[in-house]
Order: sequence, then C-alpha cells, then structure tokens
Amino acid sequence: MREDSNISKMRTALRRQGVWGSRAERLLQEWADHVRDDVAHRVESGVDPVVAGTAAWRALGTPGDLATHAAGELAAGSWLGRHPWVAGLAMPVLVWLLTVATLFFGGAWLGSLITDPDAHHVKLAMLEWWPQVFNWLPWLLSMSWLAWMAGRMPGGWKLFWVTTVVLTFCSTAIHMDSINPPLNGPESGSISMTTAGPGGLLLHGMLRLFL
Amino acid sequence: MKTKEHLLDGVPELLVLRLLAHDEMYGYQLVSEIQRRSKGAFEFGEGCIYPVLHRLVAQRLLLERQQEVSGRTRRYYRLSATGKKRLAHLENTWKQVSATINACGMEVRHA
Repeated sequence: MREDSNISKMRTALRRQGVWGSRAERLLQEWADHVRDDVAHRVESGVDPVVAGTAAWRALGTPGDLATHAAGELAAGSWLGRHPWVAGLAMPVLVWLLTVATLFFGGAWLGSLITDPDAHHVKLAMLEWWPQVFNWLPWLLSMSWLAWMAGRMPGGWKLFWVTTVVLTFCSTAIHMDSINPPLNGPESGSISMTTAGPGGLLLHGMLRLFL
Repeated sequence: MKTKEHLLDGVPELLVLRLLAHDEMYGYQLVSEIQRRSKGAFEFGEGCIYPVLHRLVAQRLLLERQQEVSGRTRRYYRLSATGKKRLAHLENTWKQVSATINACGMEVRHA
C-alpha cells in the first residue's frame, strides 16, 4: 500500500515534468526494486521493517527531485532533447510546409492521371474533398509530430504552446476552396487558393513586398 | 547552490563509468558501491542514478542485460567499447582540471 502510494506520487511528478509512457514505467520499476533491495539490506542488519521502509524511500529521493533529475537526463540523452527549439518548433513548421507542398503538387499530379471521361465523377469527388484535406492534414500532421515530441521532451509545455500558436498562424494563412461545376453546366470545376486570417494578411503583405 | 551543481556536472557520469569499467552491476549495487568508496562524500537521492544509467545506455556508452532474480527483472549494466573511450576522455579531462587547480595553489588529493 505504502509502495503503491509512493510510486503513484512519483508517477505524477514524472508526468508533470513531461516524462511518461514506457520511460516513466521503467524508472518507476527500477526505483521500486531499488527500495525493495534497500529495505531487505536494512532489515538484514537488524532494522525494523517499517523503519527500514521509511528510510529507504527517503534515501531514494523526493518525487519532485527525482522527476526533475530524470527530465534533465532525458533531455541530455537525445539530439532532439538537446535542441528543443529545432525539434519542437522548426521541425513541426517544416513538416507543415512539406505536407502543404506534397498535397498541392500531389493533388495536381493525381488529377492529371485521371483522363478517362467515365471517371469524371472521381475528379469531382477529389475536387470536393481535396481542399478539406489540404486545409487540415498539414496542421494535423505537424501537431501530431509536436505531440510525439512533447512525450519525449521534458518541460516542453512552453514550447508546445508557442509552436501551437505558430502552426495555427501558418495553417490559417493559406486557404483552399473548391468551386464545383453547376448542375447541367460545364463538366469541370476549379480550386482556388486564398490567403486568410492574420497569417494570411502577413503572407499577403510579404508576397506584395517581394513579388 | 547553482555554482556547486555546475562544478559537479559530469561527475556522476564519470563515477558510473569508472565503477562499471571492470564489473557489471545493477542499480542498487552501484549506489552502494559509490557510497562505500566515497565514504558518504557524495550526498544525492539514490534514485538519481537510474536516469543517468538510462541516458548512458541511450548514448551507447553502457550495455545492459536483464536477469530474473526472485521473481523480479533485474537490469545489469556494463561498459561498452564506446563507454571505455568516453571514460578515458573524462579521466583525462578530470586530470587536466585537477592539474590546473593544483597550479593555482589549491591542492587536490587523488584517491
């Protein structure tokens, strides 16, 4: 019961520092084993089991100190952890840019492949759904990357929010819309790309400045 | 004290690598050995050693193996070839720091 309570406190402390999942469970398992070994050693040398248990947990360290230390070591152990701003900000933005480019050129390429007049409805369905994919998938992928990183980068909440704001700003900058052909009208629709929102205003200004 | 922490940066790594240079050990054994050899000179939360061990494994400086002991899985750590090179580098750096401190008139006693 006592062990469960202490382990639970340590698990909470680790989670607060951004350490969870298998890394946290492995640490918790080794800490619990360490305490069992220490208690056994103290009891062997004549200490009362209850006193030995209290002393062993105290010697292990406080949950806060252990979690802070674990988070620091975790960060130092990986390239991504040692470069949190590259991993947490530059890379999600790069993922967003690459997905936008892939969807834009990939969509155009896929559309060009459908030349059969009988498959015209496929083209229309693509025209209808592609903008939704374009508008949401890059943001979702880059946020997924960030969420994956957050699980591996201790203390990354400040970074998480900054990146969320930047990615949301980027993702609202370009907006794709489809214009379906009217019923009984010509058999082709069109896709338009516009700048939108505060990110769009900035992008629009930059384009006017440089083009 | 922040300064003290910075001054001791790298010491836990050096201690762990040095102790594992000849024998493989598990966490509790390693902590007991550090306390025995340092005669309590280093005061630290014993659990702090495990994140260090995990980092060194991730950096391929240590190798680990698991063994069932009394129904529990115990992890044994030992130095890898890369770890041996890292230990040599850290020992060399440590000697240089000691020599510099000695040159400044502050005697450092080696064990």
